Amino acid sequence: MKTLCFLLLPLTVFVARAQVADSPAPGAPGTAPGNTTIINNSSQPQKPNSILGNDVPFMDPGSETAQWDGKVWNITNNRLFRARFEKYLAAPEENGAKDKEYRDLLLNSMKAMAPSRPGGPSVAATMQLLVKAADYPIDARICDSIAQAVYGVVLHQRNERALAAKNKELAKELRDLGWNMEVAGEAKQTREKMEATTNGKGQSKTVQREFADYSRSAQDIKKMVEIDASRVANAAKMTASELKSKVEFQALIVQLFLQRRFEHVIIACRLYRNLYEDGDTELKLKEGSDVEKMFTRTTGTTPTVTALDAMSSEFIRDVDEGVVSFGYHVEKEELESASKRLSESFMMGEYLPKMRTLPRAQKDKVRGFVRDANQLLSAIEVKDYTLAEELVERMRKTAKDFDYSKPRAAIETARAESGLHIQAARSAAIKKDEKAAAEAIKQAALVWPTNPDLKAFSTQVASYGDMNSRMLNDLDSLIAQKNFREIFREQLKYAGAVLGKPEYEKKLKEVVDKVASVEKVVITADEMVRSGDSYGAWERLKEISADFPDDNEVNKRISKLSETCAEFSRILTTAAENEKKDRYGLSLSGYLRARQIYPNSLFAKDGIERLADKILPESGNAVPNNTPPRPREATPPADPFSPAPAESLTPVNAPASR
Amino acid sequence: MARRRSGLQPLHLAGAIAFLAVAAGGYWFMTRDKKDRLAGNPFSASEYEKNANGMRGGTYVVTGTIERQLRYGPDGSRLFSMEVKQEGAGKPLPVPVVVPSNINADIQVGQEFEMSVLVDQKGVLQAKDLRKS
Repeated sequence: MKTLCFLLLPLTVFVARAQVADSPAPGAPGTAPGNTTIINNSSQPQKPNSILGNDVPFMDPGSETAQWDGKVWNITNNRLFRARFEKYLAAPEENGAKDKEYRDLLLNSMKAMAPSRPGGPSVAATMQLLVKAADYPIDARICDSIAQAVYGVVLHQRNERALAAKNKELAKELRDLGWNMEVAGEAKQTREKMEATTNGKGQSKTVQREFADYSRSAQDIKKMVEIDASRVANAAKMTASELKSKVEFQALIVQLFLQRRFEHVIIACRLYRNLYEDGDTELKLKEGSDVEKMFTRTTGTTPTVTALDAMSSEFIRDVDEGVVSFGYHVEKEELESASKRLSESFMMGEYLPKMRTLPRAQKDKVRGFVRDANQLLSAIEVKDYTLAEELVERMRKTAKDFDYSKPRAAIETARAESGLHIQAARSAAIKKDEKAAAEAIKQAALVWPTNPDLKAFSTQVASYGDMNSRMLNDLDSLIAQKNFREIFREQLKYAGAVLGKPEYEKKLKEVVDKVASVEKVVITADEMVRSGDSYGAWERLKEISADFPDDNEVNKRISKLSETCAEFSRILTTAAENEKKDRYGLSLSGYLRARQIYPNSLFAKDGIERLADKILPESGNAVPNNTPPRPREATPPADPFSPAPAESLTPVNAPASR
Repeated sequence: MARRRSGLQPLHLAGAIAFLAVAAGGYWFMTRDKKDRLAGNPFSASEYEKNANGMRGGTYVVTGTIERQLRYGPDGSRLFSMEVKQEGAGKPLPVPVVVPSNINADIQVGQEFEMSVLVDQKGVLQAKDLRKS
């Protein structure tokens, strides 16, 4: 059936053109006046390869595509065809009384023209049936067109008969003139003989009679020439009229064939053969035209009316088989094959009874599948692979024979390619390479415009800019507030925001380093408290709080230890105040008392050292022998968190900051 | 049956000697020479803690235990931390005492000394004289 389709489709465009007798250009030389039709078979210059020109579409049955005018079209995937087919599937079957009457009329018309009919084919009976059938809307007045064509042939034949009668009259007149001339000649000879016997009397009368005889003969000869010319002209008119009549009828048949009105084609072909009994059924196609070549190549013979008749019958049979095949596939739930068979049959025999009477209940079984298939094609065409994937899954469930490998491959390929581009865009974005990121996003959008990942990434990128600047503002605010602990807590977030901004990177690093050192001290202090060294913990916290007075964690711990270390703290504070007032004795006494309370006190140790230097400047490291060595406990613990600079350990700042 | 001993026994003699020694010692303690003690007002640790400024320029006699030596000066002066008992307080108050080089005394940590000290303008105790308690 596909082969037939491919033969048929191009004909829809071109055969009709070849059938129409070319009309001469107005004013062109050789144009005959009046109603004279001249068949011009000479090739006219045409623009090569123009749209709807002489180029013939190339059909590829393997891929179900047609190449035409430089473009490739998928025949079954054509949007118009798909829409028409879906409309057909949704339409109810045409099995009403009127439809049946119409089909009966066509059937009877065919039977009336059948050679097997008793009494032979009857054009008159067929005409009566055609006129009735033309009144049904489904016929679209096609039967009337056939009847009109037949009437045209009848008129032509009537005209032909009139011309023949006229030629017959002319022939008789010609014969009469000849006879008259012959009789006149004989009469002249007789008269001349009679005048010879009388001799000499009527010399002048003889001359006058001679002149009259010649004049009459000249008129007769002229009339005979005119009659002969009229006969030849009438014969030419008859020939031209017959040719024109045949061409018009053939054009109608071909037109019906291309419209896939195969029943009408059969009726018209049979009428043609009965109307033209000369046996000339060859289609008058323009010799050498693409259409003529196509007919010759596909059928291997000269195209004839009989060939169209046979092909129409074959198409009708093929459509019937397709519908049967459709029913079988539907029964087996092979919806893809069923829809293909039905679409092929529909393309071929849209107007045939088998197709028109197919129950809607049966068509409904494939309607959903066909709709999904059409939507799948559209989805893939517009690269909406999300929808395509949904459709493929649904079609897999409904049709056992659905070949999902092609759409699945297309979807997966697009997904993979788009994913790679998005990944590239993400990498470029991380590297702050905005140009590369934009290019990668563009590529991803070209492959799969509706990719959800692409949308999410785009949104992310769009919001990233705002978020980034907002985060940098937050960072500035927190640094201004000396809320380093908050920055430290959200350092990962800010690390992403400052990436690629050296100024902010430096700021963040300083803050993180600072808070990390505080955090270490806090951890150490907590450990000291757990081991019972509250005074030591308090001293560490007081020392670090000088640099981070607003650190909540440090302040919280100092506050917690203030009860335990109240006396110790008070003594150190008083000592520091006395030192500032140059009361070295009392100040040193205070530091000594602090060391009594907490022998490992670093504040006390430093205070004692400092005041001892003021009271009695040291001469060196000499220590009298009678003095025991300095207790080891005064040495700061050997850990990395020990306060290094002496200035930073001064308790002068610590109490002052409280 | 053994004959019972009577008269002056050696145990009686030793007891008499011990009694005499205790009596002599008590007499020496009660009647020793008051001129050996250092002159000056006793140093009040609590007063020093409260009002060291008021004590500046005054000479006091302070008795305390050497806690440690804090510094040895280039001229031989020494700075000690001396713990002075406070009236009614549990813990003694450590006070700095500078022993000038002209006082050549053997001062050891843990020894108790009675010192005559001058409270200087900075509130530091400058030893003028000392003796072991």
